[in-house]
Amino acid sequence: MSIDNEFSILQSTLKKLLKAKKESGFENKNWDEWFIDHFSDIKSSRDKSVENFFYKNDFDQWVQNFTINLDNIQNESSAKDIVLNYSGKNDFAIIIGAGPSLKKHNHLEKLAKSNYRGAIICTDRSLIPALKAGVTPKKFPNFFVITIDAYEEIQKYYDDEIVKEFGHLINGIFSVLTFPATVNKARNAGIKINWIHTLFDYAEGQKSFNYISALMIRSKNPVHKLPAIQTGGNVGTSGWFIGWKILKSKTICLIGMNHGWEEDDPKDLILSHGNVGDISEIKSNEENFQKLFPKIFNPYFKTNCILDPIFEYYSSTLKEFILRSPENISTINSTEGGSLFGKRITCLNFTEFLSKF
Amino acid sequence: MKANFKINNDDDEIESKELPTEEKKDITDEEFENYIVKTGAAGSFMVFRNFKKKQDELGLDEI
Repeated sequence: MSIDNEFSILQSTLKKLLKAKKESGFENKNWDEWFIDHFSDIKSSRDKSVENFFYKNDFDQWVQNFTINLDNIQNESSAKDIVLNYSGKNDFAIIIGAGPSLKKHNHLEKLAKSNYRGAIICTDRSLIPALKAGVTPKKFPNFFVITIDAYEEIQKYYDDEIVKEFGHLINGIFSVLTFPATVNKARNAGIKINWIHTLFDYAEGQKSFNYISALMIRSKNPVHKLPAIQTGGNVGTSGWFIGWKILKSKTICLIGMNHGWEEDDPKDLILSHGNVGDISEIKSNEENFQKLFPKIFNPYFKTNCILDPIFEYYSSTLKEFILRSPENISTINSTEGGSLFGKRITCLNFTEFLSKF
Repeated sequence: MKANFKINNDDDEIESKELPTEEKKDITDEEFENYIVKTGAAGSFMVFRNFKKKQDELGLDEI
């Protein structure tokens, strides 16, 4: 390295850099990671592909959903009020995803029989199975359910007698973009509705839909502001952010969050990301399969899991945000499988977690 | 008083960043986009990025 490239700065400059590094969420990361991130102003090709897809296929639906929801959003609670009502009671939170490990390891049944006293954050898809397994708000009073997806079919996750039985004891956290019939199902079941923004274009400033929709919500009452969360692209990661940023939990445990497939799951299920896609044009020869759907080994649980491109994207995104979270936020993966392991993630058998918390 | 930055070789950090995987080959951007389109990216949402205010990527208390 030439002497001309020697990197030397004043301590006052270093202090400014340290402050900027901390404020951008990189306090616990090394300088190189911060510099690379800080000087990058181009979205990753993965982020760009996903963005293009949603603008083409879903954006219009989001705007329609928001418009129909607006009157209710203006009159119902902001999710920021949850902090005021529940502060100090949610030091621990369990996020319940709907991954195959939930059933495989009887995690809902183990939770139902436990003496756990922290918050429960159910993803919408896991609500009915959780209630039916005995994980109810009667036993766990700090009980939340979240919906991020704006699709019409999400309403089925609130369509069951058991939701009506326990709804009045459940706090629901809903994106302002949620399909209106989904929120109606939850509302009619007695679930208390708390609204949040799901961030996607706020960086575009005053022209962004996130900014404009927030203005519209505040048009009747200027102090009616909502928290705006990073979703990480899926409801499970949204749950992790809600645990940290809204419930202010210090220890966040993940169950049913495989972010991957089991080795013995049917090939068609894996190819189609859970039977949701048209897989007829996806080449499934062995070489292509191993490339698109790599098998990874979780050295902590000593299990294999198979990623598809979407799960790989989710998994790497959540790991990035876990790394960027403050040191006092502990993320414990008790899924007992899947792709979530690595720095700042403690993999712990769920029975062991329940015995400690 | 000055603070000096140590310059490491690029290769030094590579190993520690890699997670243990088997049979892993990176897919191309085209293959990723194709898969997103074919499966409809169901159950997904955009990841929010803000290159001017990275801290905002972790969420905002209220807007």
